[in-house]
Amino acid sequence: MAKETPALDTDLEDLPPELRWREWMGRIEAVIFASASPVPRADLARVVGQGASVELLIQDIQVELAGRPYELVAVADGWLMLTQVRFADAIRTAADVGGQLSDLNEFEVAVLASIAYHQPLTRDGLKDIFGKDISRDLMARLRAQELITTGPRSPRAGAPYTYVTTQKFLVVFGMESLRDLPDRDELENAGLAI
Amino acid sequence: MKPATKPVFDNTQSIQLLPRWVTSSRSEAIETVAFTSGAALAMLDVVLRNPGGTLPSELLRDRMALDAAVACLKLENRNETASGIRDAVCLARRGDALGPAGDMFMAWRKLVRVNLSAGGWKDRLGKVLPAAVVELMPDIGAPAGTPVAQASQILSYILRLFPREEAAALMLADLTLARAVGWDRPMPSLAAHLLREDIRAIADGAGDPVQSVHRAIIAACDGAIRMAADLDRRVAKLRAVAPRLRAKGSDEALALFLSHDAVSPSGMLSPVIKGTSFAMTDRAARRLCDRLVELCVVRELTGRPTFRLYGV
Repeated sequence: MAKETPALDTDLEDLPPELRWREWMGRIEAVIFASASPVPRADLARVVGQGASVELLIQDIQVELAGRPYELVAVADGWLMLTQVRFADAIRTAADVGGQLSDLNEFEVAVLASIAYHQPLTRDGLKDIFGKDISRDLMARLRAQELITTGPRSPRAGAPYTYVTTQKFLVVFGMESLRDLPDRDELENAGLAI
Repeated sequence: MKPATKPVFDNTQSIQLLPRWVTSSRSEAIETVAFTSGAALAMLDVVLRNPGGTLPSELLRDRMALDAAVACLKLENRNETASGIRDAVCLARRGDALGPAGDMFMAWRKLVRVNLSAGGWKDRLGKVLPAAVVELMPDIGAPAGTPVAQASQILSYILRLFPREEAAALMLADLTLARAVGWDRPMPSLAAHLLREDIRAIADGAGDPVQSVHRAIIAACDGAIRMAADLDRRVAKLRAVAPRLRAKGSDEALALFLSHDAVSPSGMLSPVIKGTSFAMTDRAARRLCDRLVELCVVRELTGRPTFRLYGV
């Protein structure tokens, strides 16, 4: 956590209520805009007055952002500003997204999904699912992007590592929790058994 | 005059199970379920107050926490078995993520260790529940009515606001129940015994939460008392053999068995006995566990030749 800067005036007593509310909205939007990772509600509460509801402020901001190409989204324990999916092609064509998530190919996504559903899962477990070895390189790439991490050892010869998904996995796929994974039964009905 | 028949008093079993009229009641009328759940809760209360001083309450709560975790994972569409959860928790090394199943069990384990009679329990609770729920806690206010009514108020309040935080709602309901009846620690009751449809109905604001919570309480008390009676008997055997164990650190090791669902010799007994500074070699740990199994006081829980886990 950053060192406390000279105390921020959160109560803004000298402003009329309406302007005060606008200022709080501005602060929350600015904090989320400037943050590289999801901002927990508790952190947002530190820039607004004691009695102010972060929830309501965010709702007001969301109303204001309606129609803009970006939005405030709740992901894994916090709030994040994301561009809307329909602009993905445009962004990919021209924007400098630098070191952010490099595109995952279809197979990598399938491996990630298998881990998400069956975690903790070993490479052997993945082999059982896909019918072929999953290269260490691929696993290393997913790990380097912090989409997966090592879980408990598997109780088998050699005590191989299992893999589990991370908070960042939830953020990248726009999920609040693993509950947001599509229902397995529904997937099977759609012929997409994992 | 014939002397009154002597009451049947079974000395070998100090914990009395629920009478049949409580467990076999099939009536759905609210008066009946409320009456029987009250009776069941009062009997569980006696068991948990531990008049004989022999009940391994920590172990009982840990096992109930495991059941609750399995039930909650099922609600989240994760079919995890108790043994899968044990493996995740016992075989993870320092720094490993536990995965969703292990995390769920650890949350319940932490919950049942929160001492409600000590100050600061709210802070400890705050570390167990999701941030969004914690933030709301000051607004919840004091629930009113009987313990079961209080628990169902909290349950439906949280479920309606956060329909997908079933685990958090069930944890808070169990905690509310414990506070209302004056237990010093939460006892996982509702998670394993509320039906999925009941939970969905409560979240949707349909159906009567109190009735389904009463029904769950009856089943939960029955289960908890049975488990308490079973563990009480097993632990009595364990305590009886304790003086015959000469291995160094065996007392500390037994304390682990009396508080943990499962013990892994390689992770929890060696190189040092968890929670103590007692050193134990890998070999000594395995020999102690083998010896305890030989004496029929602990069981090997996995059926595997390696990575074995032991528990009472």
